[in-house]
Parts: sequence; C-alpha cells; structure tokens
Amino acid sequence: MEKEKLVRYGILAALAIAVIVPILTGFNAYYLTVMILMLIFIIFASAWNFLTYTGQGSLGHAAFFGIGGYVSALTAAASGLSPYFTIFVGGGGAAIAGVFIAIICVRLKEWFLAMVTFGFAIIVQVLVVTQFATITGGWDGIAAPPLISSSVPGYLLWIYYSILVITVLVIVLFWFILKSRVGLAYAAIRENELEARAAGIDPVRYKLSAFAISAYFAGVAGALEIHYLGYITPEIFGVDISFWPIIYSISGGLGTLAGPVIGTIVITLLWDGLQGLGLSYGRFIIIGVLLVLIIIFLPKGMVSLPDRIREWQEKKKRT
Amino acid sequence: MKRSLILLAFALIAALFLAGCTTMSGTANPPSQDGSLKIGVVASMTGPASTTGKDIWQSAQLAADEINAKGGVYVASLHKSVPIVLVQGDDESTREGGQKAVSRMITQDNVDLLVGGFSSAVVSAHQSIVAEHNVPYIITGASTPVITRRDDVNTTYMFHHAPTCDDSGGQITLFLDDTVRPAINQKFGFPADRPLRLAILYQDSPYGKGHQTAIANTIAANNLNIDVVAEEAFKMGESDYRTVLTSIKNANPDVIYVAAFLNEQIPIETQGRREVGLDKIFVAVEPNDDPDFYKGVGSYADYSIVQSRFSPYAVPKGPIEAAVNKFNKDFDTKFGGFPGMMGAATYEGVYIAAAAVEQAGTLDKDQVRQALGTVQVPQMVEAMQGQVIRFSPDFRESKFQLYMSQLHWDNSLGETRPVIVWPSNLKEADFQLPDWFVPGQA
Repeated sequence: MEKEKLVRYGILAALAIAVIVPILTGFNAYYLTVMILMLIFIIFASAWNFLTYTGQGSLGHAAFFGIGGYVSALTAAASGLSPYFTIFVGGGGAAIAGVFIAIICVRLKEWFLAMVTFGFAIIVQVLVVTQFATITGGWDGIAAPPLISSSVPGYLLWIYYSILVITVLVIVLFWFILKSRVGLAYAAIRENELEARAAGIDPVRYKLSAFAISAYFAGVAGALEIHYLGYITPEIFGVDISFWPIIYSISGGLGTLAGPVIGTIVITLLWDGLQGLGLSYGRFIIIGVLLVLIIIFLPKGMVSLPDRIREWQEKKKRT
Repeated sequence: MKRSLILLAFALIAALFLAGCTTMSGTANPPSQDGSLKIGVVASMTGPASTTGKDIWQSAQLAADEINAKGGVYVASLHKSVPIVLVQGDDESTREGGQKAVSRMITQDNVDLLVGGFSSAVVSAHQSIVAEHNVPYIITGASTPVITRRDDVNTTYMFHHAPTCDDSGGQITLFLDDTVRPAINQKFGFPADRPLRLAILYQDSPYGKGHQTAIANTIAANNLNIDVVAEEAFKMGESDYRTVLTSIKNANPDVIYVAAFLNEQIPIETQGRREVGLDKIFVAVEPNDDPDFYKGVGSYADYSIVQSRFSPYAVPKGPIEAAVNKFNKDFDTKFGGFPGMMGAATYEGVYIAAAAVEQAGTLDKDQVRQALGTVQVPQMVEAMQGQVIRFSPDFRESKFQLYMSQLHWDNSLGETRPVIVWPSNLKEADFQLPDWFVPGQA
C-alpha cells in the first residue's frame, strides 16, 4: 500500500478510536479525565512544535498557557460568556504576549531565544502575583467557570468530544498552514535564513506570525485546562508546564504534525498506565529509559519508527 | 450502501453516547459496601512534595493499622465493625496529577472518604471533582484559607484540618505583642507603650504572602502596638539572603519574622546572625520545627523563636504528651525516623474520619458529611483550641493551639533545643532576651 494511503487510513483509524474509546471504556470518568487532559496537552504540544517549523524554540511556553488561562477565566467571569467562546479570547491574549516577546527577540536564535522565553514565564508569574493580584487573586488564584456544568447529564462526555473536535480542528489548521506558501516560507527560514531572505522572504514577519500562532493555541490549551479544572493559580506558569510539550514533541517527532500527537498519547498512556500497575516510581525509570532509547535510536521521534523498521528489514534482507 | 453503513455507525455511536449520558448523570456515589471503610489518601508520592507525601501516607497507614488492630470502625447500619482500607492517590505534586488521582479514587476505587491533600494549588484544582461527587474530604494540608471558603463550588463536603496562614500568622503576631514587646521594654527601660519594631522577611509564594497579610490583619484587628519597619520578599529556594538581611538591618527592627521553609530558614538565620550581624530575635514559622532545622542552624538559632503544632523535641506537657510520645515511637518503629506535621494532621484525619462514620452509623456519604460537621474528637497529637478537634460551623476549619518555643543551646547535644514559652497553659519557661540582643531604634 502506498505510504500516503497508509497515513490516511491511520488518521481515520485514530479518529475512530478517539470517538469510540469512551464507549469502549464504559464511559469511565477516570479514563475520560485522563483523555481530556491528554487532548489539551496534544493542542499545547502541537502549538509548541509549530514554533519549531521556523527554527525557533521556547523554554517558557507555560507563559502563554497561563496567560490564555487567566484571560479566559477573567473574561468568562466578568462577562458571563461561555468558556467555549472565551477560550479563544484567552488565546488572543496569549498571542498578543507572543508577538510582544517575538518582537523583542526575533533576532535571537536557538538557546538564546529559549532562555528569553524561560525568563518571560517567570516575569509573567511575578506580574500575576504582584501587579495584577487584585484581579488575578494573587497566589490564592481565582475560580474559572466550568466548560460545562457538572449538573448537565454526561457533562464529561460533552467536554471530551468538544475538546476532541477542537484538537482535530487545530491540527487540521496547522496542516493547512504548513502545506501553504506560509509553511514553505517557514521551512525556508528554518533551513537557511540568509537564503530565504535572498529569495524575498521576510524572516521577521514570518517568525512573528509563527510565534503568534504558537502562543495563540498554547493559550487556547491553557484556557481549556483551566475551565476544565475550574480554578487557576500562578502554579500554571511552572517550569514543568513548559517542559511537557518539549518532551512530547521530541519523543513523538520534532517538526512533524503527528509527532506531538503520538508523543503525548504514548507518554500519557505509559505515565498513567504504569501508575495504574502500581509503578509509581518505576514509571520514571521506564519512561526515562524510553526517552533515552528514542533519542539514540529514533532521533526523529516515534513517528519515524515505521521507516526505521523498513530500513532495518531491508538491511537484514541485504545481509 | 456505504452511506447507510456510515449512518448506522453514527446512530450507534449516538445511542451509546446517550446511554453514557444517562450512566454518568447520576453522580451520587453509593457507599463502597464491600465490608470496609475505604479511605482515599491524597498524597504527593512523587514530584517535589514527595517527602511530605510519604509522611502523609505513612501516618495514615499507622492510624489505619491502629484502628484495625482494635477491631475496626463500628458501623451501626451494618451491625458490625469494618476495617479501614487505605487507597493511595498520588497527586504527583501537580494540578493535573491531583485531578487524575482524585478522579480515580472516587470513580474507580469508590472510596467512602478522602483524607490528605498538601499544596493549596493542587487541592484547589481537584476540589470541583470532589464537590461534584459529594465525597467527604478531610483536607490535612493547604495553608490558604480559601480552600473551604470558595463559593464557585460546593465545599460543604470539605473539612480543613490544618492551620491556615491566617491562624499561624495571627498567633505569632499576638505572641510578639503579648510577650516579646513587654520583655524588651522592661529590660531596656523603655516606656511600656513603646511599639515593637517588626521586620518581615517572606517567601514570595502563597505561603509567604499569606503570613504577610495575616500579620497586617492581626495588628489592625487587635490594634496591636507593633510597627512593621521592613517588609522584604525573596524568591522560593534562594540561598543567599545577605542583601535583604542588610536592608532589614538598616530598618533597625527588634524582631525578624521569617515566613520561609526549612531550606530557606536555616541560611537566613545563619547568615543573619553570622554575616550581617543581626543581633535580633528571629521567628520561624511552624513547618520549620523539624530535626533538620536543629541540625542545620546550629548555635545561630540560640534564643530564636519557632512556632509549632507538632515538634520533634518540644512535646507540650499535659493531656497530649503521652499520645505524642507514643505516635513518635510507633512511627519510628514502623517506618524509621520522625513523623512531620503533615503526617500528624493526616494521622488525626483518619481518626476523625473513623469517628464521623461511627457517629453517622453508616457509610452513606451525606450522613458522614453531616456527622463531620458536628463530630468532636478529643485532641490527639496536636494541641487544639478547647482540647477538642471540631470543625467550625462557618468554614469547617479546625482550630489548633499553635505554640511558640524558644531555642536554647545544649552543649551536650551540640544543638539548640526548644522550650515552650507561649501560650500560658502550655508554657514550660518564660521568654528570655539574650545578653547580646540589641533593640531597634527609630
């Protein structure tokens, strides 16, 4: 079968599984909780990964995740609007912050840019607990209206399916962008910024747009999580929140659409599955070893596993 | 054909979805009914708070074992005593981990009650699921008073058995006005109405900010004769405090109130006394009363003050003394080492849960919740106000009798040891000012 056809069938199968998993698990609330959080982190990891298409990196995406959460929570609380609307307002707040940080450091590269974004997350956290404490509740945090009230029958299912739809739409949107001329410009900048400039591409403009889009959807993910948990505190800007999308993207496959999705699913299932088997501490070792093995044997991530298997098989045949 | 198959598939999924909605619409959880009292212990077994999480889990185990050894918990509706079965819920020290752990314990393990919870941020993130399923929850951590005062979720099933920053900061401030201020004025011949000069050094976190607010509120509410002459913040986990301590020295305080954790308190007192030359009284908040504090701070803590509710060395004389000694001994025998404050509160939390179930005479969650609202358990290993553990009718908070100890150098041990100096019903000795103490000046 052609590779493209395989990919198409794979996507359809994944979607079908995503749709019927709640049914297969008997509408189990715990599994739904795990899957809802997994979908939110798929959006977040995909948003972080989007930035890497222009060769940029971030160690502080928790800033956009948190800004999205705070802006959406405050907007929903003040206006009474549905969180399903305000999550996109939250994304807008994150995008504005993303453009701001991108303007400051658009000429920085790799680790220098990553360090600035890392510092930015800390600055935002400090501002939230000091300058804006009167509206953000400082360290005590504030309540966030729920996505759907728990009094609605099957509310967890509605939340799951609505976030699934948003996740699919986000990934489809990324696919369209990356397949368009914009995506080609991103790739050109990533491969060689000087040559891209010579070809008439304005790297600054495109890098700004990538930062804005990445921050926007990181903000949407943060807002979704906050309206799901029902409460937001400044811990949302924590270092661990910044590192999860990096781990998911690198293990799944950096610079690919499927990478963050696969990485998030596999690591989440392992993380919670191994804990379910009583391996509270053992899972750290197993996942750690897995990550090391991926870096050594699959530097392009788990998404490259079929290609590697084919390569190994061909090599075996030749020998 | 193909289209009809797709339609059929959609219809099937829609039907199952509706079935799912019906299944999930009844959120009332029946009692576990498997012949046991199933208690879910929310503890950070992994992540940055895992040391405390282990303490919480082990102390809960100790309490459950003790109760089970005595025959379990009598449930009148079952006409028998049932054993306590603990279920571990590792919140991974994160909000997401807490949500998953609590969700699993409530919906999979079908626990009758929840006990534990440490970080305020983590607890606030999983409160909605507890509220939704109406599971009684005895929260033995979380220093913010917001936990049981939220009005966006139903917190009536949640009971807070840990001192809040309001309580802790309030009591220290009252002690300073009541005991330290008169001692300074008397020793140095100052007028009796001379205000105490207080400097606050606080961790820039919910915990530190909570103390800062509590001090201000207590001074205002009680019209205390205390001037706050300096307020300095530091980032959590910092190690060099000489700059802020120098700034505090320039403000000339009598007392330095430090709202910090153990790994910060030790260098703050050490650097303050040794390198900055602050000949003042340092005050440490309750989580610092730990063997590691005494080892780490050495002689620099001589004459300083530490607040406590459960101490390794200062056991309040009287009704709880024997229970504390037994708890410490049993914990050491079973697990090795010394239990901490969070462990002590969770140990009591399991006993409170058992008492509420016995009082309710059933495992029905609503009736257990009602029993928790009125249950009265004699104080156990922590001194309580009125010598009884009970939850306030307004915000369902238990009130601790936090005590203040002054540390004195013990040559034979090579460490300081605490002596309780406040409140009057627990005190073993009077507060003393050292010869080297220099009062602040305006």
